[in-house]
Amino acid sequence: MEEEKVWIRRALAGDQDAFACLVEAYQTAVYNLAYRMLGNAVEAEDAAQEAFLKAYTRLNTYDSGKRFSCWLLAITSHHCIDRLRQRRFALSLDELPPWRWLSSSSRPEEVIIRSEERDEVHQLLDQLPPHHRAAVILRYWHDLSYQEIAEAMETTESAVKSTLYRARQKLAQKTLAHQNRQAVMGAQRAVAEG
Amino acid sequence: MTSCQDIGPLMSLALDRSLTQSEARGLEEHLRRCPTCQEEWEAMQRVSRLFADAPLMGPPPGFADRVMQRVAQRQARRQRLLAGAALLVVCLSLVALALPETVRWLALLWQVITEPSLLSHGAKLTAQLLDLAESLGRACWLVVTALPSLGQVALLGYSFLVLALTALWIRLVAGRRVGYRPVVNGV
Repeated sequence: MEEEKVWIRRALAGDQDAFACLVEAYQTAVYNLAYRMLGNAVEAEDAAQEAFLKAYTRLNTYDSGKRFSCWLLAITSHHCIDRLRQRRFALSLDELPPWRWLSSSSRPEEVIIRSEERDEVHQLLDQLPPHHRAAVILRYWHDLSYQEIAEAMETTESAVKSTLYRARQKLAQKTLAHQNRQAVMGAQRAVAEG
Repeated sequence: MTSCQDIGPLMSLALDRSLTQSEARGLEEHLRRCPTCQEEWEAMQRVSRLFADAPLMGPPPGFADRVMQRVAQRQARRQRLLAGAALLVVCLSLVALALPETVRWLALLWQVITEPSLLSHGAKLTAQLLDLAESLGRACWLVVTALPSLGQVALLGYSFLVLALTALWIRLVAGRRVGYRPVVNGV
């Protein structure tokens, strides 16, 4: 902890080696958040790099009374939320008739193949809107408290509790619906074979 | 008695181990009586376990180096921008300082240029210079046309004189320039 404070102080004075120590220490946390938020490795690497660059340029705004990791994860989650919004906007543009047929990436069969390639965790996280996704990831993978999530997402503790509840409820319902579909398909297959 | 609507938030809090004892008892009692909520609770627990068991994903090798390369690039760009801005400020300051003086000089120059007597004198001078150039041109032409009639000996002597003067000029002036060597590290 003391070592981290020294790195921050030196990085603030313009020492890039000290900032490199901070990058080494927090690269897994930042990359994991970006990867879980965005769902692919290439975009996650770029987003994680951008998050560190933002942290470097805004280091003077860091409040030393709080955990550095929380501050860094807040920057990363905001950056990823912005990216997801841009991606949604790009997708909605892609669905307009002139682009839909010109763009090869928007063909329905490819979308299905891509979604099949993703693992179960990504498929579930993909069901959530960006803010809910960030709250869930910060809670499960980074073990942040309600208060820390609230600070990172610039909201209140009760709003975080409510967000987590709604996200969990939605995921539970999706899981149940998936199970029911599989049960129906299994029954149909059994009838067809019998 | 806790209703189905109130039980959802309690389930979420239970997953984070943030329930009070009485809330936990209320949740337990409700789940025993309500199969729909029990089913949802089990699904929530399944998803929660799945997330809790998923590993923390690390970046590919060399990630920190790539970040630091971008930091260095940004820093260099920032310094270039700052230097450019400083240069711009200096230039603008110099222009601002020199502006009144420049305007004064330009006004003076304009007065001199637009002076009527100067204009007429200038025209006369130009005409005289043109006359002089014409006379010099004629003289040169006369020399060039007269040279062959002076005979071969005079032409040869004139050529030798020109060559000798050129060689002398090369030795005295150009020779010194060719012989120049720069000083490196004070040697």
